[in-house]
Amino acid sequence: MSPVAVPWLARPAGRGVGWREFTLILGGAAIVLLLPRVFGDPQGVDPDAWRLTGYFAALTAASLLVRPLRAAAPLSFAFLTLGLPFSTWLWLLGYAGPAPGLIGGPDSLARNAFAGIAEMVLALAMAACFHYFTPAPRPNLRLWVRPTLLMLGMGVGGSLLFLAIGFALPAPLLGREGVPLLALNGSAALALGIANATSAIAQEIQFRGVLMSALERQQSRLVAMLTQGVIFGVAHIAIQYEGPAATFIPIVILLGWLWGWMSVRSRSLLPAMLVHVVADFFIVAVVVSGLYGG
Amino acid sequence: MADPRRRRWLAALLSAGLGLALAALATAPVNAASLWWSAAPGPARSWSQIASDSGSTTLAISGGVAGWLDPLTGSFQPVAGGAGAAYVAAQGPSGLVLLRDGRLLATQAGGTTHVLRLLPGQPRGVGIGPGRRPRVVAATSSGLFWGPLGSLLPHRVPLRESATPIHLTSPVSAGEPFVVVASNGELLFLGTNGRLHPSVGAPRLGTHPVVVELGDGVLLAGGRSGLVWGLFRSGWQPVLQLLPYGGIGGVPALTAMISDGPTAAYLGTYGFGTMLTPDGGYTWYRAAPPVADVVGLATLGPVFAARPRGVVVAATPGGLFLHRLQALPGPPSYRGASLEGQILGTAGVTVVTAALAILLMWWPRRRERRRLFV
Repeated sequence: MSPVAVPWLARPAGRGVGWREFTLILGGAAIVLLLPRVFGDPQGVDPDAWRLTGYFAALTAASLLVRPLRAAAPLSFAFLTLGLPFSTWLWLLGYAGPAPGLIGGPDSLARNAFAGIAEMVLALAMAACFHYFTPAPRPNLRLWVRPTLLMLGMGVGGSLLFLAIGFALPAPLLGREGVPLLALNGSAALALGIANATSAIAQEIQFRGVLMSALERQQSRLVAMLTQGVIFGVAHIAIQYEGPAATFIPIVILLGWLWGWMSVRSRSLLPAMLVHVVADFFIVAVVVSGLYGG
Repeated sequence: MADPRRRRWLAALLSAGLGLALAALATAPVNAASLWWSAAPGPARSWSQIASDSGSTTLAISGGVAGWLDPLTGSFQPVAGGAGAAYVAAQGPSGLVLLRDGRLLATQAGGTTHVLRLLPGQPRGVGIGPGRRPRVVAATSSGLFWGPLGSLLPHRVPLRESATPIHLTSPVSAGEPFVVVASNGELLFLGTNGRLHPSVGAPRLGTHPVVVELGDGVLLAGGRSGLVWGLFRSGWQPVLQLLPYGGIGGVPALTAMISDGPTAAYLGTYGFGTMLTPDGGYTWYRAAPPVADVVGLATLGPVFAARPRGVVVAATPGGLFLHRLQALPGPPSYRGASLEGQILGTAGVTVVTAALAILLMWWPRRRERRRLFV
């Protein structure tokens, strides 16, 4: 298990800065997301953020088809990889009114598990498309890697560290990630834990896999890692929950940076996946202080 | 990252991201914990018990005195002769007070109070069943005494010396049995015919048990170990395990459990506040008042219902706290005649923005190739 040298600050050779496309894509996304609030309730007409998915799909199609726009194809495709599985997941959970009736009733184990697995499979399929359809060079998804002891150590150690911090710090400080043990849920823990675990795997593929590799094509590893962490945190605003949110997003950004560092350092998504799965499973397995009171 | 231009870009990007996050947070639908509970009006009192019923007032014990409590106004009217109260039960305007000396009082809200009878033994509980002709059960160390509301409780069910009642729970549906927990840990059902029969496979709850029956017939029961069990069609199953304080302290005591509607229940604890299950014990949330030591719970009116009107009342050493149901996260309903306009507007914004973004990305590079399409 030799140490892995990571050139954090080296920029990819022959690539443009890329910030222009990046700013345009994200600025447009912000307009698409926020402007409809002026004349209506966006939660009422587009709770699944399908409009974001449509926006990214339009940019992706244009950047793949039009030669002068090809430099923007990896980023556009990466954002589409964030939007489409998430919208599909919400739609399958029933957030867009009537969802398919074949997957169990609302809030049922079957529906939660189906939605989580579907999100994971869709994210994986889009990562494969990203790998093969975006312009050369091939992105470094860090997905098809043989497990090593370093990965195992990082995954297990990171999980234990997460739980230790969750125990040690008070819930009001940590917000949703504060997990002082109050009680263990019954059967719902396993049911919702499985659904959350598959969503966690999907998020690692989306953010640390596709998005970070798209950013790494044009930026140094450090900048790519920091940027994906910020986007990871901001994207979690979309999660509907009723806990103390003011501390939630910065903590998610920190976690995004940590998991990004782990992925770069170990050259694999597996350690970050393991920690993320443990974290998400644990959050639903216990009655979390800070949620719904106290 | 030696290039200062790149550093500026990075700083600007991070600032923009954090700014966007904070701006969105300012409008995010966050219900802070403090909004869930509000302190009841009126002077702060110390409470030891509060009865649950479906009216606007209920019986409660404060400072050892029983009285009629209106939690919404803070009004507390002591019952005549209600000093030394041990247990109270209420249904609508009718109530019962079991005193420590064994006297059982019948009282009416805003009306008269009289002694029904003197019960032998140490008082262990009193309950009123539902229905038009509710049954009343009073438990003492000498056994169970029961009869219709307004009667002198002429029937007595003796228990073994080693199995005296220590806890009594009223049913929420007419015709269902009262639940009795005996001192040896046994869980017994007192049927409408006055016969006791044990619950097969029931857990031994130990001292300080709490039991509640939900509207759909599921029974939830917990004891000193902090483990809550559910009696389902398939039998008894553990549904929730309270854990020690900070991982190494003792398990907080279960102090009260109340049901509301067919599947919802609130569990009061001395230390962790209240836990809420909206689905018969399947999932649990923490719904805790600011004071985490809860000694009594009551529901007044339908709380967990399609059209909730009532409140949950939590009695704590720091006073009473009221909880009105707020929506748990779930699929919202989408209705309204103006949705078409909003959908068209949202779609229009999306299309125009995408076109603009494509145009702005393409414009500086338009001369790279003469052919538009690859």
